[in-house]
Formats: sequence, C-alpha cells, structure tokens
Amino acid sequence: MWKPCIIFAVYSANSADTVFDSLHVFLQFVAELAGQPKMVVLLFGSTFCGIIFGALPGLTATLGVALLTSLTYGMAVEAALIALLGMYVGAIYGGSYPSILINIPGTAASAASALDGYPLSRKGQGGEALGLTTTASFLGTAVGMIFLVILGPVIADLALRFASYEFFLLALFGIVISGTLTSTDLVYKGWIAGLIGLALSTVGRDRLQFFPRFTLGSPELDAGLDVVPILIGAYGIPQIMKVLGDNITLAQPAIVGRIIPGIRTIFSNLKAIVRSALIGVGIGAVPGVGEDIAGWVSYGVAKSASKNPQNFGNGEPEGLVSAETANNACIGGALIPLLTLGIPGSPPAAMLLGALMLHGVNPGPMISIERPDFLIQVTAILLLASLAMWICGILLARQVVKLLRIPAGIFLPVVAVLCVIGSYALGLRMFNIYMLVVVGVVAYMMSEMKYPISPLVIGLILGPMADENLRRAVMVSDGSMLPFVTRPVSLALIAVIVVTICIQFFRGRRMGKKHPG
Amino acid sequence: MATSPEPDDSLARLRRADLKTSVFLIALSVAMIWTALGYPLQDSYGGVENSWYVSPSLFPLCIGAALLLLSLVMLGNSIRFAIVHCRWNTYKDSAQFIPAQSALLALMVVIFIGSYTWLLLPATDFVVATCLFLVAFTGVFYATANVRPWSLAFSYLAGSIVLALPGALLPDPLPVPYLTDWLAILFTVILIRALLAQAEHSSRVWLVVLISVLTSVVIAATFRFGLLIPLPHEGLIVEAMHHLRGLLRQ
Repeated sequence: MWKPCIIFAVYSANSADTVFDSLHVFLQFVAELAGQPKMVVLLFGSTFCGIIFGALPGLTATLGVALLTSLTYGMAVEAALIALLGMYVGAIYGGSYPSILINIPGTAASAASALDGYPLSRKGQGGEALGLTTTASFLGTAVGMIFLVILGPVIADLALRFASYEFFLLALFGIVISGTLTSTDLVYKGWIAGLIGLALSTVGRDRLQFFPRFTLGSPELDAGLDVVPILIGAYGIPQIMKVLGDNITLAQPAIVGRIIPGIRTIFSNLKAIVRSALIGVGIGAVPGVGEDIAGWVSYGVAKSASKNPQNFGNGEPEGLVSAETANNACIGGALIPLLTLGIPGSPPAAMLLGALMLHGVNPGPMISIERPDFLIQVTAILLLASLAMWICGILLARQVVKLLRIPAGIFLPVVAVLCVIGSYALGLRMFNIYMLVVVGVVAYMMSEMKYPISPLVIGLILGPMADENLRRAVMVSDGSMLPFVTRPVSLALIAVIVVTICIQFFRGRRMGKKHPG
Repeated sequence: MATSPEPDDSLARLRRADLKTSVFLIALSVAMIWTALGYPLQDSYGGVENSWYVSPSLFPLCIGAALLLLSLVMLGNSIRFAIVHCRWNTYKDSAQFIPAQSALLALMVVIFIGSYTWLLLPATDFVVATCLFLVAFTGVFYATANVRPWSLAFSYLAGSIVLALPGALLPDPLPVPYLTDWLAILFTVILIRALLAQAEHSSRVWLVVLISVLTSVVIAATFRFGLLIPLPHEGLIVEAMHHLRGLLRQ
C-alpha cells in the first residue's frame, strides 16, 4: 500500500525539482538579459520599431520580422532572438493604434479591434482605449508565454517519438488546415496556394539524391529558391501595390490624451481576458492560421457570451479587450509548434523560422536535445518583450500616433527599398531581387483573386520536410504504405485531414445548392 | 421556398478569373507531371540504387496530381456558375475583377519597382539608383497635385532602360569612369526639375528630394559599413563614402 505512495511522492518530487530547475534557469536568463544595457536597448528599440511597423497601415508583423532578419544576420543568436521577438510582439500590438484612432487596422490581427476601439475614440476615450489594448496585449502575451513553457517540453517530448510518417502527415495537415481556415472564397483556393508553395519548394536539388528538379538549366535555380526573399516578396510587395493602388488616404487621427492603463476595466473583464487568451493560444498553435483569425474568433465568442451583446460595436471595452488579448496570446501559441515541431503557427512565426534557420538554430523535436534551455530562453525573451511593449505603449503611444500622419506615398517607397536590399542581403544574389518582384506580382494577383498567401508560405517552408519524410518513410517500409495507417498517430492525422477535406466539400455542396457559385 | 439572390457582377468576374486561372494551373500541373516523369524513377542515379519511392519525382508527381485535380474542380465550378446564372455575357465583357483604377496604379508600382531592381540596381551605384527611384516613386505618389503620373512613370522607365544600356552593350570597364552613375545623377536632376515645374507645392518636391537622398545614404551606410554587406553595385557615391570613411579614420 505504501509503495504506490512512495513512487508518486518520488515522481512528484522529481517533477517539482524539474519545475524548480526550469524556474531557476528562467529567472537567471531574465536577470542576465535585463542586466546587459546593450540587450535592453536592443529590446526596447526593436519593440518600438515593431509598434511603428504595426501602426503604419500597409506594414505587417511578417514584413517587419522579414526586414529585421537581414539586419540581425551578423548578430549572435540571443541578440537576434531579442530583436525579432521584440519586433513580433510590438507589431501585433501596434496594429491597434490605427484601428482605434482612424478605423483602419494597422495589421490584419487588429481588424476586430476597430469595431469597438474606434467608437471609443470617437467618444473622446482614445487614450483609455489605447491603455486598455496595451494592458490586454501584455496579459495576452504573458499567457501565451506560460502555455509555451508548459506545453513546449511536453510536445517536444512527444515529437521525439514521431517518425517520418508522422512528420510528413503533420506537414500535410498544416497545409490543409491553413488553406481551410484562411480561405475567404472557395476553400480549395487555399489548398491550391499550399500546393503552389510545395511546388516552389521542389525547385533546386533534392535533399536525398541531389538530383536537379525544375531548374531549367539555370545555375540560379539549381541553387534553389531562398525562402526569406520569397516571403518578403509575398507579403511586402502586394501590400505596397494594394495600398498605393487603392490610393487610400488616411483620416487624421484624433488627438489622444493621457494613455491610461485601464486596470479597473481589465479586472472587471478578467473572465473575457482568460477566455480570449486561451482562444488565442489554441488558434496560434494551429499551423499557418495566425493572429487575425484569433482576434475575430475571440471577438465573436465574447459577443455571444456577453450579457449585453447589443453594446458590441458601440464602444464596448470587453470587445476591444477580447480581440487584443487573443491576437497577442496567439504569439505564444504560434511558437509552440514552431519550436517543438518546426511547423510555424502563423505567418510571422513562419518568417521567424526562416530567421532561426539562418542563425543555425533548427526548431523541431531535437531542439530540446541540441539546445536544452532554448525554450526557456525564448520564454524569458517573450516576457521581457511584452514588458517592453507595455512600457513603450504607455509612455510613447502619443509619439507613435504622430507617425500615423505620414502619408503612405512617403513611407511605402522607403519600405520597397528595404524589401529589395533585405532580400539581397541574405545570400548576396541579384536573383533574389528579381524573384522578389515576380513573386510579389504573382502574390498580388493571387490575393486579388481571393487566394490566401499563408498556405503558400507554409507550403514553401514545409515542402522540404514533407518531401524528405515521405520518401524516407516509404523507404523504411520498403515501398509499403501500410505503416501510415497502422501507426496510431499517423492514422489519427490521416483521419483529421480526410474529415477536414470532406467537411469542406460537403459544406461547399450544401452552400452550392443554396447559393450556386 | 426562398430563392438565393443573384450574384453580382464582381463575383461573376472573379469566377471568370478562376476559369482562366484553372486553365493555366491545369497546364502547369500537366507540365510538372510530364517533367517529373522524366526524372529517374527506377534507374540508378549517381551510383545509388533507385526505386520509385526513393525517386526525386515522387513528391513532384504527388503535388502535380493534387494540383491537377483541384484545378479541374475549379474549372468545373466556374463553368457551372456561368451556366446556372447565365453569366456567359459577363464572362465575355472586358471589365476585370480588379477595378481599372486600382489595376493601373498597381501596374505603375510594378513599373517603378521592376525598373529599380532589373535595370537600375545591376548597372548603377546603389545610392544613386535608390535616390532616383525614390524621387520618381515618391514624387508620383506624394507630390501628386498637377503631376502627370503616367508621363513621369514612363519617363522614369525610359531613363532606366537608357541607363542599363552602357553596362549591357559596352565592354567593362566603361570608357568613361562611372559613366552610368553620372548619367543617373543627371537624370535625377531632370526629374526633380520636371516635378518642380508640375507640382503645385514645391515644398513637397523638396521634401521628396530630402527624404530620397537621406534614405539612400543611410541605408547604404548601414548595410555597407554597419553590417558589412556589399551592395548590389558600388559606384561613384559608395566609393566616395569609402574614401570619406578612410579620411575620418585617419
């Protein structure tokens, strides 16, 4: 009778030891980073730049991380991580500024915030609204960070038991789910975008036999397509074309008074914040979906669950807080599959994956073996970045608001130059710049025809993983496909993929009968 | 029973675009499958024993097949839409799924960025090329009152082609040192004068010039001397910056 109790006590003690060890390492990292003035300056600088990037319509978190990747190329991994995560966190939060002040979301992630943020601003409560989003975003990022540190090691441990079968199906699942959830028109447009991304990833020499594929005899294509310039082209150039092409003239933002943190309002909406944070983390963990969907889903759930849904859309703080908490919690959620499986949970995370690989860090299940403290290090940086975001938001919001007065005709051409030189800097290939423009034009046409770009990006990044693991899996089983259905996790993944596709087709047929086309 | 509302013209144009895209994607996927079938499926490659499941054509074949299937579905959907809603007339009209004004402005952006990357950057000093690009691009989209945007855009394109010619036609090194860079500087001055003559507020044009020069110099200095990344083409101004840096160090 005593034996199970002793075993349980030993296990609990060991687990508690592990938790204490991890906490010790975490606090050590935080103290180390906070104690280095250069790192603190880098953190605040990148977070502030991220806020500006998010605040200026036409610029996105993905583009910000992409452009910063080339600047951090020569830095140490730690410094690069600080800069990139600071930019990521700042940009997702920064999108709320124009949403609230001029009813134009700075990033897609803040689209839902405009519904209640702008009415608040029109009532003269712009300062309170900005204070609310600042604190809500901080809490959202903190919750995401907690889930990252709790779930990350668990998933990494689980992933160590995965074989090639599971990794191939995970990549396929990522593309299918990303295409399904991000399509605004026909669902198979998302899948087609994913397949185009996979096709682009096959250009160059294959990894197993080094055989040239689709190179057309060109030495440039023989070297393959660099991921980062294509991502910059896919996200940066269409934005520039769209904003300048639509000739959007931004309204002048209202004068903002003191930025008040809104602690009392935060406490009165604590339930909504916790719920939104969980939604954000959950959606962030789904490959390729991203912060914009997290914001909308959280807003929708908050409205349905509210006792006063009629107030939503008229300046209801709960609506604003729900959207902003979710989109920032999504950051931590997106980092979970990124760091543990090597599958990005959102477009900015996809960009972050490219940046990490450039610095010789290969996210995936082996990360806990190659770099045992990496997850904790990222968590520490995320905490500091969210703190820096909160401080910058409360103290410097009014300066950022002034930047909203800069016309798009001035800052977007400068962004175009940064896109070009950023693409060139990684690899020093003129070919990258040529590809940037071609990919940009194609991505613009695709987005105008309602093809989502996220699945294309996910396909491009996961293509090599899918290719290698498919062939390796079938090689191990000597040409037999049976292990795909006899292994439990593989079977589960196949079932999820098939069910997802079938649901979409049946839904499409039912909609087709009601509204043909 | 309630009937569904008739889809509007914009949806019809989108479906027409889907029809054209699906034909293109079918052709692309067939080409992909055809090319992939030419890769070693059974024969050994590089001394390595090959089987279909190790073959480099396996993955492209899977992608090609899936893309072909989805493209056929999209083609069928587009045709069904036209038949169900009797929209063949809309399918035949000339209006596009992107509003004409937006499409033209987007095309202008492509002309500017395309000329900059394909014509100017490989042949001209980075600072000069960037300054010229920013003066033209920002001039059209910011100092826009009374400026004729298309004449400026085409002048810029023509000028970029002319600037790319010496590098393409003449042997390296050029007979006159930094010939292209001097021509580019001259062209920039001509563009600025054209903007000043056309724009309603000359202050905007000078702001454009200031931003263009500052941005070019700062970006060049940051990447070349801060991050030690060689620029696409280092000519007159970047060499001058090198000399200045040497002098300052002394």
